[in-house]
Amino acid sequence: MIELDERLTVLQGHAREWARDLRPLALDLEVDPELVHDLLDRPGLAFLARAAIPAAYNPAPIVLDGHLFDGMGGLERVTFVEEFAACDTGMLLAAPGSSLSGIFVALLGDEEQKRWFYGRLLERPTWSFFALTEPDRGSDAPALESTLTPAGPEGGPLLLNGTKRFIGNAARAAVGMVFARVRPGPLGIISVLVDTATPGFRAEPFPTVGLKGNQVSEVVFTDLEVPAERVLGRHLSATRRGLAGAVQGFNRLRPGVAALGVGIARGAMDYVLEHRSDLTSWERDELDRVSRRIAGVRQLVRRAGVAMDENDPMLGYLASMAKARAARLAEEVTLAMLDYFGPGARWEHPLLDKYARDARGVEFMEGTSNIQNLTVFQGLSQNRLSVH
Amino acid sequence: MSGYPGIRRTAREEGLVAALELLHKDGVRHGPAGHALVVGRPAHLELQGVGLSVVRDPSAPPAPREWTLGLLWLRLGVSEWLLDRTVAYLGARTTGGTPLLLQQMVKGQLAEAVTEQVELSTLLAGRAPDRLDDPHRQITRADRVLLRLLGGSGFRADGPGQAAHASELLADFYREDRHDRAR
Repeated sequence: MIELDERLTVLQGHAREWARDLRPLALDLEVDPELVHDLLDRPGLAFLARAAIPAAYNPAPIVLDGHLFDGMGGLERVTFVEEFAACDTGMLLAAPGSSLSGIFVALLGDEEQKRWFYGRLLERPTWSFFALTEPDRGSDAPALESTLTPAGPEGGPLLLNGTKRFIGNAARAAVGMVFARVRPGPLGIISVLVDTATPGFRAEPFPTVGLKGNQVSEVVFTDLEVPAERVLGRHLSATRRGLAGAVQGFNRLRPGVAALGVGIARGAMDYVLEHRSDLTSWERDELDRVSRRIAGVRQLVRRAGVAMDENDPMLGYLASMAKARAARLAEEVTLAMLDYFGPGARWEHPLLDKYARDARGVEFMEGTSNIQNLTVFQGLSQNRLSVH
Repeated sequence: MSGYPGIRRTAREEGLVAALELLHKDGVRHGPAGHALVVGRPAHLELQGVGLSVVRDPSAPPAPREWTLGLLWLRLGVSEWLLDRTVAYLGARTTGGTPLLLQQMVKGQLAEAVTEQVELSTLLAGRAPDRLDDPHRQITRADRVLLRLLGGSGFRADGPGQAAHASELLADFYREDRHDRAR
């Protein structure tokens, strides 16, 4: 069993409190995602806005009960993400901050890029976006078609063109990170940092079944000028700054996404415990089993978090296992919890209905379960899953 | 009522909205707690450009079994509609140059979904089962398999995933009242 130490128990307690403070607004945020702008002073959103900024770049790092946090640790991340997701994943994903792109900047950015990117986020609560997926090739990133072409002589700015889809927070973001191609072939893909105030940026949110707070958008780049110094990892070798190098970043994102699934499942179960005071003994037994199942997946997610902290070479595989398991857990538990109420539960218990809709969104974030399973199989076939 | 095959066919060929209108043709039917999903305003959700409204009338008599059985056929037809769209989607998208439809994993999951549907249509033909909640769960299970194959596009409220959501709502509104469970 992976248990939390004192420092992370402190974080868990605070995150739980912050998330509960925001939960009464979950349904309002669904109706009006712009509501988040009025909530930036809430401690939960203030924390998320500054999380995922390495302590070295944060002059006022987050200190709770004497412990330092930067939201960059694996076990740290899965701990607070689960707490927020157990209350409202929509709010968590509506929060300002660098949660996705910040990981890549930490991994691939040079000093100046880190100072620029994290600096922007520290000025005021600022949203960022992360753009990889394209309309016709969600699970086939190596085939992406967005381009970066020289605007003039070599070494000068680049022009970004292309369309990205399913990009959370893009319409409210000030900065972001975009994958695009400088030449044909899988090695021709790099990533750049983008300022959304630059001409040629357009983001349009589209309606989704759940996670409405995230304002998932389609983003179109039209001759958007990117200064040469915003090419992420320009100080690294071509392989390390390309898609292969980015894999490390994706591996570090997935434990957090997996924690969303655990949180949603737990939140739905907690909802039943809170609203059904008349459980039969059979129902109690059933809920105990659900609780143990959630605890099991939580262990897998924490293991992925620990692997992230220890730079374990198994991280990618563990993160894929955790993510696929947690996505399924969230879907199945949220549906099962609706059965604890009578006909019309989805209308009479809109928060529980919301958990069930949000759960569907976890499945496709950072790769569907099929994609995760292919990764796990790769680890198996290459004998890289040393069981211990 | 135009017969169960007609409802199923309408759902498969024209989608949930047309089939729901057919089902409510002789007046709106309500679930055991008075809920109903109808075409109209105020729209609580949009499906294929049409507004669907939730109404609640606790005094309304619950829909008769003949009707709730029709709803099951409707949901089966919607599930088949979703299957058709999923197959078309996967046939048109490629990974590494090969259609997603030809990936072994994808084939297996589509087979699972269609097997659920065929099992269910067999179960419903002739004398239908007494309890309808398990068949409803079976349809939801098949739909969820298909939604996973649709990836992000299945999560768009202006795409096929919204029909699956509306179908789940219908199952919920008309679910059988279990007296051992509180409201």
